[in-house]
Amino acid sequence: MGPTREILWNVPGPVRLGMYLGLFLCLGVTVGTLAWRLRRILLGRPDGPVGGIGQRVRELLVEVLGRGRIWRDPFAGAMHGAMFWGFLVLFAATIADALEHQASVRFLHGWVYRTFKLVVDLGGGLFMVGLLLALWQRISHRRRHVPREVTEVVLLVFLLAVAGTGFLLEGARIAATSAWEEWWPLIGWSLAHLFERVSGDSLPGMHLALWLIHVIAVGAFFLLIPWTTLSHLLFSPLNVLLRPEGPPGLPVTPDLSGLERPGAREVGELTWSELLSLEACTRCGRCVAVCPATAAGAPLSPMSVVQTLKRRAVWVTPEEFWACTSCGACAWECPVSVDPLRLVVELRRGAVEGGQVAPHVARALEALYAHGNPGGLPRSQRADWCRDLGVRLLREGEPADILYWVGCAGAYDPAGQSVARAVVSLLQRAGVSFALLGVRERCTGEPARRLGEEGCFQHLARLNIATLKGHAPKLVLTHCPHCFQVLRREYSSLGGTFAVVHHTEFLARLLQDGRLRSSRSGVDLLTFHDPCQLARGNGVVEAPRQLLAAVPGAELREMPRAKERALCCGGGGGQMWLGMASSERISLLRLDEAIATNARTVATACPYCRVMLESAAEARGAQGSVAVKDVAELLVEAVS
Amino acid sequence: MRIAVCLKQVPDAASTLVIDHATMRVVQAEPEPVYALNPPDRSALEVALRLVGRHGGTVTAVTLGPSESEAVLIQALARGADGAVHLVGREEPDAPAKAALLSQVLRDLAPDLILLGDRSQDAGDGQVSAWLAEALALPLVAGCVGVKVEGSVVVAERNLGRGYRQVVTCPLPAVVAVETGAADPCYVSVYARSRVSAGRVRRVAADLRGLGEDDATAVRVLGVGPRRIRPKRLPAPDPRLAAADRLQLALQGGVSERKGRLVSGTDSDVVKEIVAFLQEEGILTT
Ligand code: SF4
Ligand code: SF4
Repeated sequence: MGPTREILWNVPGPVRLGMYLGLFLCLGVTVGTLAWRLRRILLGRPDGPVGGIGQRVRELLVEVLGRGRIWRDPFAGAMHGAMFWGFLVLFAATIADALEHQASVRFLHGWVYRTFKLVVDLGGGLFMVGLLLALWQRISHRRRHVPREVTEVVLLVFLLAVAGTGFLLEGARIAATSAWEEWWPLIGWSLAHLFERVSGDSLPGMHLALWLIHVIAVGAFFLLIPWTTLSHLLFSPLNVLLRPEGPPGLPVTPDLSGLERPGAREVGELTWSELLSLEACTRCGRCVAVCPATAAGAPLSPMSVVQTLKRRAVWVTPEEFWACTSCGACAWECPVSVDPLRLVVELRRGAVEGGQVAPHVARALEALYAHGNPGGLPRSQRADWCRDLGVRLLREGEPADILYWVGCAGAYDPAGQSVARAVVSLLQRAGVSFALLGVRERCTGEPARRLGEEGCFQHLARLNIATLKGHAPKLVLTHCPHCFQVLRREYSSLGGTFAVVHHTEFLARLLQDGRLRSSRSGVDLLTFHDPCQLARGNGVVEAPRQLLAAVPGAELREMPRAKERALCCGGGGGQMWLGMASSERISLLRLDEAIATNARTVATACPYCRVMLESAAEARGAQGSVAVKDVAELLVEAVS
Repeated sequence: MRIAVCLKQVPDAASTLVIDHATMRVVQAEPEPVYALNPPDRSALEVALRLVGRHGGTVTAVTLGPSESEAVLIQALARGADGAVHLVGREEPDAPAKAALLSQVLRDLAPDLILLGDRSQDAGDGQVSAWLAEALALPLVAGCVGVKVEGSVVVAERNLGRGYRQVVTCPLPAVVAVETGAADPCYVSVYARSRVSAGRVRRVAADLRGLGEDDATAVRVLGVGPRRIRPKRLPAPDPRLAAADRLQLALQGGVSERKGRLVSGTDSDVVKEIVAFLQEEGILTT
């Protein structure tokens, strides 16, 4: 039998017993508290089906194995990786020790024992490195989005102490037993030299004292789990696994025929998955770093929305939840699948049901219900823009192969109309047979839903679904990413499943098939602003770039934040009707990013982004030097 | 305190209106007609609910009109009214006849205060409140922009135009007609409206034949035509306006422009420039 050691050396029997009792008691209390929390979560309102567990397990493994969202921020990835793997090793070692000791499965001897000691020692070291990195970022505040919170700092120092006493303990044991040849626990062995000068008689006593401190710290660690960020050990993986189906930022569709009122005016009115997500938040601040409203100085911070709700003591203020642009960046960025946008929508629903909306928002909502567009323009004028374009307007019941969904901006807003005209012209040039709903089209309800008017959304959705079903379209084509998102993803929960395509995807296909050919253009340097609903919401990032590549002479310069990481234009989430100053500032932030690429044309693929960036350009006095255009408008110039 | 509020459903102001020469009425040229609660009536409802909120009591909403006008009562109930009475009638009678029909219901309700909008957005003759007060032999305070109740009197603030206000008191019961500005209406969600059971509306047939000779009116409509259109110049959108405002401007052609000019120089130069500016803008005419 090679080298081994007696587990719990130097610890008298009754103390061992006390330790086992104490630790099990702590563990019991913790498990009980966590169970109580879980029960409180289960008391939440119902939510959509979980579904796709296989996919979720994969997501979790990817995250755990270190290639997931945490690693989008390499520092955070390294820090978390060190803590996670270090902790896992220590945890496994403790289990192995306990097994060996209690179940008398003797396997820790010889080279297994040596390797085991080395691995545990290095694992502990890794754990401490991770803790030190975390401590550095919380204290130095050099990574600005990571909040500097005292509780987090205290917790990290405590964890360092737990790990540190473990190492000292190992050193004391080596010194006390003069096992100097046991160099394999490298760090413990090095620390043993600290005890060299201590007289041999007092070493066992010192060891026992250290051991007691360590065990008590471990007990405290158990007890702290439910009350600190440590609870994410349980809740974050659960949240990743149990998030209801659908992409981030997708609000739950409540069954309005039930007796409950929609929205949340107290935490108890959130759904179980929303309640679970509150527990899962690790206060890492990643969502804050990407939130456009925060960047523009609005009082909104997605993390504090989550944390305020979690604390259950105070309520999120209207100034916070009305500043959100529904860009979905927070949900996309969160490493543990928390969805602050969903919470914002629940809070807005609560406010709307309580009648607490600003007068101009109320006007927009009433207009949506009455006229089917947020501007309150007559429905009879919805098809005026295309009167002289020779397009086919569908009569009731007429089947349609390709149905072009125009949306309110395309129908009423001059900038949107210009996009819609470009799309029509391209389709006609390519010989695509398509038809429009004309005055029978209504707003998809997107602004109503983002503004928290779920009843109005469902009302419009039902009308539109019935209208669309009446034509059984093979494909619904739209140039508005907001309509695209709702038609494609959000109508299905109300019984309307359609094949929906964004005009960038459709036009890219026409180019590929050679049905559209570009020959000339007046653009050179351009940059592309990804609309949130298109890139983050639906992952359409390549199609618009393919289109731009087909514009002769055009050279695409990407902004630093592009594709799924793009910064919002400030116009989503009903901001067009909320008229908040922060929304305008967001558009300026984004325009400045675009200008910094030296591009002379800012291309985009959303009528809202187009309006927002165009007014930002005017506000900057840059309308002469940068033009804001939809990709369809650029393409139409290139093919004519 | 018992309050009755008279509400009227009107065609939504944003819809496209055309004249039906056969009936000499203004009708909507929309895929489907769009209705709204008459804006000053909505303020009247809000005033009533706030008074009851402060002093206690009940609010009963009353409307006169065809079956689709029940929507305004549903809206009132969703907003917090305690009861609703629908006088169902197809024909739109004139003001005295309307007042006579309403007075039958109101006499039964015997409210302490009757609130209604000063004039309707469609017919707009503003007579119903006066005829109603006459029919019920109650005092009338019209054109109110603020209503308070102190003991058994109502203290009303009346709009005299040009920024003038008059404060009057009047013993209850009384008829008080308010303007749109009397209270900011509260948003009533679609969901809240969908939760109101139609059974809460008491329906009464409006019977014009039961009315006496006196209530018939001498007014006849001779013709209906569009108003003379005064062309309005739309300024190019000011780039300093918020995008939301400019969108509104483009969509509706009317958001007031935020503009200004800074003048500097000696006092007399400044005065001259200001006077010149006021003349340019047509504010000073001499
Ligand atoms: S959706 Fe966008 S604006 Fe709203 S909280 Fe999240 S990051 Fe901020
Ligand atoms: S919501 Fe997600 S990203 Fe934001 S602080 Fe919490 S864990 Fe981090």
